Formats: sequence, structure tokens, C-alpha cells
Amino acid sequence: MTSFRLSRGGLIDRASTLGFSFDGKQYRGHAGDTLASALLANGVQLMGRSFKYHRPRGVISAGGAEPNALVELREGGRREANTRATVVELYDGLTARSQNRWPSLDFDVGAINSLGSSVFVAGFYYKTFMWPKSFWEKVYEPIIRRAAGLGTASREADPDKYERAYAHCELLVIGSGPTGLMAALTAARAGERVILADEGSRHGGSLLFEREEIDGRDGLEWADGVTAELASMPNVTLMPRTTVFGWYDGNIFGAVERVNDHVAVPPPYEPRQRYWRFIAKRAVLAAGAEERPIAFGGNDVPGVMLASAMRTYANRYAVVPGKAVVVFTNNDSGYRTARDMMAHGVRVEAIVDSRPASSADTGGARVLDGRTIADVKGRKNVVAVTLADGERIDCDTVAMTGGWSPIVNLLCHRGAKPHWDESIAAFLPPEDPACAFVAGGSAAGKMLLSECLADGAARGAPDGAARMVPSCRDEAFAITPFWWVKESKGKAFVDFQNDATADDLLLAAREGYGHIEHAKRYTTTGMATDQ
Amino acid sequence: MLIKCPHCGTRPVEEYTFLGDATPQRPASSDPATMDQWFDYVYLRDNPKGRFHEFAHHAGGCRSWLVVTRDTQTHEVLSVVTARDFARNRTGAGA
Amino acid sequence: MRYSLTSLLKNSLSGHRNWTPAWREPEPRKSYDVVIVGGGHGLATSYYLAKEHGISSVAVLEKGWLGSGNIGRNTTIIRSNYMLPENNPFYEWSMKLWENFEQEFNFNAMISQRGVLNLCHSDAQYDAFARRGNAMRIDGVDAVLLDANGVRSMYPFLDFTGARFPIRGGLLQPRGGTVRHDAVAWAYARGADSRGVDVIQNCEVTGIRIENGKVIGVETTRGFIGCKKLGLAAAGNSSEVAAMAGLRLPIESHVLQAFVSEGLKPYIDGVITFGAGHFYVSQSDKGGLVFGGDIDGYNSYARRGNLPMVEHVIEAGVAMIPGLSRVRVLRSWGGIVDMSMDGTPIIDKTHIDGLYLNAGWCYGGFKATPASGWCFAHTIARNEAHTLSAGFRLDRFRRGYAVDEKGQGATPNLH
Repeated sequence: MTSFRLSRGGLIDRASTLGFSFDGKQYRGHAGDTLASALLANGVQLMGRSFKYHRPRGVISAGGAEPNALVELREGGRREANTRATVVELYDGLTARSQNRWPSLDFDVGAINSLGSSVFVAGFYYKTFMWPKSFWEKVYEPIIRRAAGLGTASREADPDKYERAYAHCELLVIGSGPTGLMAALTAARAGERVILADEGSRHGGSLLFEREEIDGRDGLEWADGVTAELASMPNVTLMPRTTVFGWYDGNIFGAVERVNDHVAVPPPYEPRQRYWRFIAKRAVLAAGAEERPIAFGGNDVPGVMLASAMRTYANRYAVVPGKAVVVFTNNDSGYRTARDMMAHGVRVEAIVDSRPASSADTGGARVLDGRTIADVKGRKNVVAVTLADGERIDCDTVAMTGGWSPIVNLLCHRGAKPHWDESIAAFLPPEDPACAFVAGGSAAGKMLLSECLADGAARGAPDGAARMVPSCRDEAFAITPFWWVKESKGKAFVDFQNDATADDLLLAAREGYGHIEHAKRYTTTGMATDQ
Repeated sequence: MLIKCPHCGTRPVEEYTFLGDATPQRPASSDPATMDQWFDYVYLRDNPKGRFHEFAHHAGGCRSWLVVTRDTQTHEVLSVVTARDFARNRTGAGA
Repeated sequence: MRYSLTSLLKNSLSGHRNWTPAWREPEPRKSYDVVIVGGGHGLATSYYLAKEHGISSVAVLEKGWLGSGNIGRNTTIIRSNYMLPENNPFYEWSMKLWENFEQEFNFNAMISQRGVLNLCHSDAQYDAFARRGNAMRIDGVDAVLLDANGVRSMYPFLDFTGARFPIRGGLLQPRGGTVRHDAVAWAYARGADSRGVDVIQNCEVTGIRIENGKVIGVETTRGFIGCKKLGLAAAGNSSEVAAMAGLRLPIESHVLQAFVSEGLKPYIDGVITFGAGHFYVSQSDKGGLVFGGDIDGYNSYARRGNLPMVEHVIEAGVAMIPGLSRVRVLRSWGGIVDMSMDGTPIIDKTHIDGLYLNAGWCYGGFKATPASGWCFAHTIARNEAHTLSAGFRLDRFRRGYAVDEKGQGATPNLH
């Protein structure tokens, strides 16, 4: 079975149909789709080939950290390589091509590398290609260079225009989920100049795909109400499609606004993108937390995705990846996916929970406590999973969640280090009370919606300002760390884009590259565009 | 980085051109016997990790010479005065 | 354990469980004949002390994890295209050591000599490049002067038409190129370690003990370590370490930013530097473009820079190669460089008995790693400058023999 569009629901506009092409084949989607969701809706799960082993790959995420579904977009001087299909807003006439495969995505000669995979382990190239001496530059290196990289960049001049702009504010809020919306609202109501930036096309963050209840209303309805109020205030600048990429001295931030990336060609006299320098008196990082995978055999087969991504495709884009799902989890949030899938008519074969017991709401699904998935069966799509004790469960899609990592990166740009928190098994951002830039909400490790709303208000409020925090329904969160299934027979991927496996990290440790900085550089884990 | 010029107010770092350490003292005499002092003045530097007094020319603004006191580890700007005031405060003299 | 295709294949059959650690992690001994502070050029120095001078009672003290300093944070370029006679023979010796690196160390550092091309944009600049090219050839270094057509046949995607500063030609060193920097640190560490050198990580020097004008050892975060000779090779922090011995240096610490792009299929074969702005670029074997520009300009130990220089570098890059417009920056970082008073490094003994100094590498230290280690080892072992690094003596400033390639005088941030 393959992915398909649900007949109801989602934030897509079913009245507007858009035509697009992928690898030369024509498809249809709707306004509100991303390229990834539209492809899934058309039953296309195979979207790329992995860097080293050329393994068939599909999406594992629904957002900016996508490692696999990288496509080449547009043509000529407008061509861009390595664009994540999960963030491309679908427009009529979009043309995209998969990368790193020949002659086609479906039949890729490069897959032969998989046969040599026992040799092509991490760091293998340091140990060979040295003889004869002349062969390195004439033979080996050209082959390596042609195999390296994923997409092809354009050599032509870019016909689009770009602008540079500056803005000052009392409060810059990065991320417009529940935390960011509360921070912006609180500061704006107190009369401060606020800039609210979000990398997505629409404000709301997790409220765009999680089923929440705030102030007695649907979570998204509440978010839209706040966004409308902010839009009406002259001291607020809403900046969707804007990624804040750096934090510099003087509380200066660099950002890129994608003014016209969601249309085929920018309208006359408009730039394609705008580069911003924000100078903020205070700033709040409300960028949320990133879900983590679990390392087990075949966790990269198309149809295996992060549990929250599966919810996102179902709730926001009305697309489900199959008819029968197995959930693999070490924390309570995996259960949300089971319940949401059942609500959409997808059969939940089992929730495989690595923890011995949990009090999360199962929604009636079968729970296998203290069990783990060792391997996924299937190559271009999921056919079944085998648990560590050998039991086989037939299914066509797998949702995995290994926990959540606060997106701390911006706060580490000035050299401070994150610190480990046992209670949520994740790194928390550095905290400096004297600092004019702080984290809030799940970016600060707050895992409950009520905590996020309150934290947003607290972080956003200038001293002494009133804070009005709405009530909400909370979903409990608990996690017991579990990272890797030792019993796996197949490759268990840790870094999907650079094709680094759990075995590669074990090898690095054996060779003395056990320090995280050495392991990273030796195996290239964490060095790809999804970092 | 933002640097508050005493004349122009807070301006971004690219408006300034930096000359280096403002603390070396130019020898009063050009007598060859003072060659060691000259060598010290022209070539040797403390290069501190921490508080540092640096000559800055506000090229993109009032074009005054200033002395920026800044922490070289955190880039925190501690004070900015005109070069003349810096020199006067050091010698304790007037004109 | 020897690295080769045979051993790689053999180990793949046993699941790679039999590889041994590349180097030991020994506890520091009470004393050594030689202690080197700094695990960058210091690693190379210790290797040559052991190999060329038979001195293996050596400890390299690295304050962080191996390669965490500038040796693992640079843009990987190797070249010997200087002008002044004090420079070229030294860097050319380094090139020769690079050319034999893989065989010497049995470690593939991906030495790739696909050419370093400096673009020029005016007749005057072209003449200056001809002069430098001739100086290189006089010192036995390969140099080729290209006109615009010559440059175009190498890199047609450069901007030859709409440019504010059109390309007039370029000076090419065909043997210049790049090396995988981490591999260099690991290869030297493995090589030195196999010859008995103790490579000690997470060991920061906090003081230098001198008695009766002679060095007797260093205070560190892992205790006192005695030595007969002490070599300082902690570029970026040279002034701080030298101050522990009461020395003031002709050096200012500055921040240099560098960048890597997302991985791309082959785009740029060799190294290209822009002549109308400070920008240089190459492509690593993993596909990312590696590029950078000038130092930020203000003294810094912060290991990060600011936006104006980022803007400047990207603007220069897109001006030189218009197709870069849609390429994305993946990583950026800043390092601390020793900017010296003439833009040239220092390798010398000091007036303190047993204390030796290797510093002042500005932004060009990585390519010099082999020759720097070679000459510093000689200086330490024989207590005299090597002929190749005689121009780098510390007292040159006092004596009036500054080696000033750029002709900017005693202003570190202009070199």
C-alpha cells in the first residue's frame, strides 16, 4: 500500500488545483500543499537516493530539518539544488527533479555502492586510495568528487533581484507557535515594537498540525485569532517565510525573508528574497523542539517517518502514508500519532513502546511494552517490521519517535554551550540572565502546552507588563531514553543525509575518535544540511 | 557589534576602522639612545584577552578618532571616548 | 596498524572490529626532554623531532581535543606563491612535504593539487602578478601568468562580462591546492605517537617555570610537567602563553571567519581568489564550497565574527561567480589568528634559555604545517634557526629586517 490523500480535512484549499512535475512526470496538488505533501498525496513515496549507498529514500519529516527529500527546483539561472521538498510551497507550474541518481530515481546504478557497504564504512577513504601515488589525483579523486555532493548548482547568473533591509524593535520573537504568539502578543499589547518571524508560510507553529484546545477553542482557531490581532496592531510586524539564521554581537540578527519563493517567478519590481538585519533590544527564541528518530535497522525505508511528521501530513495536509501503521516510541508523544491515525481511518497495528510501562492514552490501540523494532522489511516501501524478539508485524508505514530536542542553535552562536537535562533527555539552551536573548517554550525544554503559553507570556513581557495567559488542555509528556536497537541486522541510520550508521559511530570509538567532535568529523554524522 | 560614538550615537561596527592598541605611549625623544623605547612602541603589544583599549576611526560618521574599550573575549563594549579625552585622562594633564 | 586497501578489505570481513586506536591517550609523565605547547604545528614539530632528530622524549600539550585549534578550522589551502625570498623557499619546502605526505604517514589526507589561481583586474595588478610570478620562478616554484582568455578556459563560469572589475588575467600556481585538514592533524598525531611522542589532550598550560634564566617546566591543568626545552606553538593564543614567560610579542589576535556551503556536484576544480575584493573559494572532496575573505579588523579572542564581513564575503563571491547566487551557506565559524607586525611568521629561539617560539602565522598557517614543524624541530634540536626559516627570526623587527609582503608596515590588521 502507498500514501494517499484523505477525502476530508487538512488546511489545503481543495478548490484550487495546481499542476506540477517531478522528474518529468505531471501531477496535481492543492494550494496549501508542500511539494512533499503533494507527492505523497499522489502516492509518490520515493523522493531521493542517499548520498553514499544510494538507498531509496522518502520524507521522514514535514519541515525544515528534512534530510532525504532534496530536489532541484526550477531551471537556468534560477535553478537551486538541495531544496527540501518539505518546505517548498506548491505553485502552479512547479518543476522539480530528484538528485544524486542515474539514470533514474527508480533504477539508480549508484545503488551498487550498497554491495560494497561493508568496505565503505566511516573514514574508509583515509585508509586507502594511496597507491599508486599518481592514481589519487588522476583516478580516485575525480571519481570521489563526482560522487560527492547531492545537487548541481547553476552556473548562470541569477535573473531575480534581492533586497537588503534593516529593522529595529524592542522585541524580536523567533517562531510563532503557542510560545511565540504569546510572547509577541504580550509585548505588543504593552506597546512595544514587535517583530514576529516564522520560517513557515503561516503563523501557528505546532498548532497547525496538533489537535489542541486553547481558551475553549480549537488550537488553530485561537492561533488565527492572535495572528489577526497582531496584524491589526501598528507596532507589530508579522514576518512569515522568514528564517533568522544568525545571532551576532549587539543583539543583531541576520534573517532571510522568502518574499517570492512560493510563486513561479517574482512579480515585476519585487525581489525574490530580502536579507534583513534585525537590531533588537530583546529577543525570544520560540523555535520549538525537533523530534528525534531512533536508530534501528531499515529506519530509512520510504514509509518510515517521524511520528510528528505523520501527524502533520495527516492533520495539516490530509495525507496519510499508508493503511496500517506501527508506532515505535520511547515517550508519550508517539501515542498522539496512534490516536490521530485512528481518527483518520488508518489501522494502528501496534504501539511498540521501549519503556516497560506508560500511562499515555492509547486510544484503544494495542501496546507492546518493553519491546523494540529491530528491522524494517522492504526496500522502496515498508512491508513489515520485525521486533527484537523476532515477532513480525505486517504494516505499510512506521512512525518513530526517540524524543524531542529543543532547537537551541541560535543561542549557541556566541560560544555558550547547551547543557543536558535528564528529565526530558535533551540538551537545553544556555541561560544567561544578563542576556537580551532567551529561549521560551519547548525551545527551553517546556513540554506542556500550558507551560509554553505561560512561558511565552513571561519571556515576551517587558518588566511589569500585564500577562494574560489562556487556559488549555494539556497532553502529558514522559520519556525514558532509548537510542539504538542493538539487535538490528540491517543498517541503523543515525545521520540520514550523510549515510552514517550506528556501526560507524562504534567504529569511530574503537579507533580512538570517541570524543564527540572527533566522531562527528570522522563519520561526518551531523555535518549535512539537516545538521 | 554596536559602538556608541560620543558624537553620533550608537552605530554599527562597519562604520568604524580600527587601528589597534591605544595604550602604547609614543616616546617623547627621537634620540638614538631611546631606540628600545621606539621598538617597544612600534612593535610590541600586550594583546590582552579581556579588556582592551582600541583606536577606532569613525570613518562612516563624524570621522573622529575614538578609543573603544571592549572585552576581546565577549566583544562587550565597555566605553567609548574621543582619543583626545583618552589621552588627557591618562596624562592627567589639561591641554 | 597499517592502512591499505588490503587491510581495509580484510577488516571489512571481520566487521571492522579489529582496527586499533589511531593514537594512545597517555597520562603526562613527570618530565620530558621537550614539551611543545599546542596541538597544531606542535604535532608536526614533535613528529620531526622524533623522526629527523631522534628525540622522542616529547610531549605535545593540547588544551582541548585534538584538532580543535586552527589546524582543524581553516580553509585547507596549500600553496607556495609568495613574493619575498625569505618566504618562497620555506613554503615550497612545505609543498614538497605535502607531496609526499600520504606515503610518509600512510594516511590519506586527500592532498589535491588542482591549482591556485589569483585573479587580477587591472593592468597594474597584472604587472604586479607578473613580478610575483617571476619571483616564484626564481625560487624554483611553478608559476603561470594567464590573460583573460587563459582564465576563461579554466573557469568559464566567472564573471567576464557584467563585472564592475572585469577579469584581466590571473597568476596560477598549478601545484597549489587543498588538503583535508582534520586528516592532517590525525596523521601527524598517529605518526608522532607511533614514534613515542606523548600526545596529551585536554591539558592547558597555565604557567611557565623559569629558574636562573632557564626553562624548567610548565604548570598545566593536569599538573606540573618538567622539560629541558619548551616550544610554544599555540597560534591564536601566542601572546597569552608567551606572557607566562614574561615575553611581549609583535602580534595582535584577530578573528578570521570562514564558510562552507551545502554539498554540490563538482563546480570548482581548484582554488580561485578574487583580485577586486578579499574572497577565495575551493570545493572540498565532499562537495561543499569552502570560502572566506578578510579578517574582521578588530582584536578578538571570541572565535566568531560579525555580519558586515559575512555580507562582504558573500557579495564578493557572487560578484566573482554569479552562479553562486542560489547556493546556500551551511556552516560558518571564526578562528583566532596571530596577526604579526609584518604579516610574516616567527620561528626562533628566545632570549630565555630553552624557550622557543613558533607564532605569528596570520591567516596562512595551515599550508605551512609541515615546514613549520620541520624548521621548529630543527630550531629546538639544534638551538639555531634553520636556513629555510632564517627570515622568520623574532629579532628581525628590532634589526630592521621585517618581511613585509603587502608593504603595509607595522599595522597587524592590514596584512
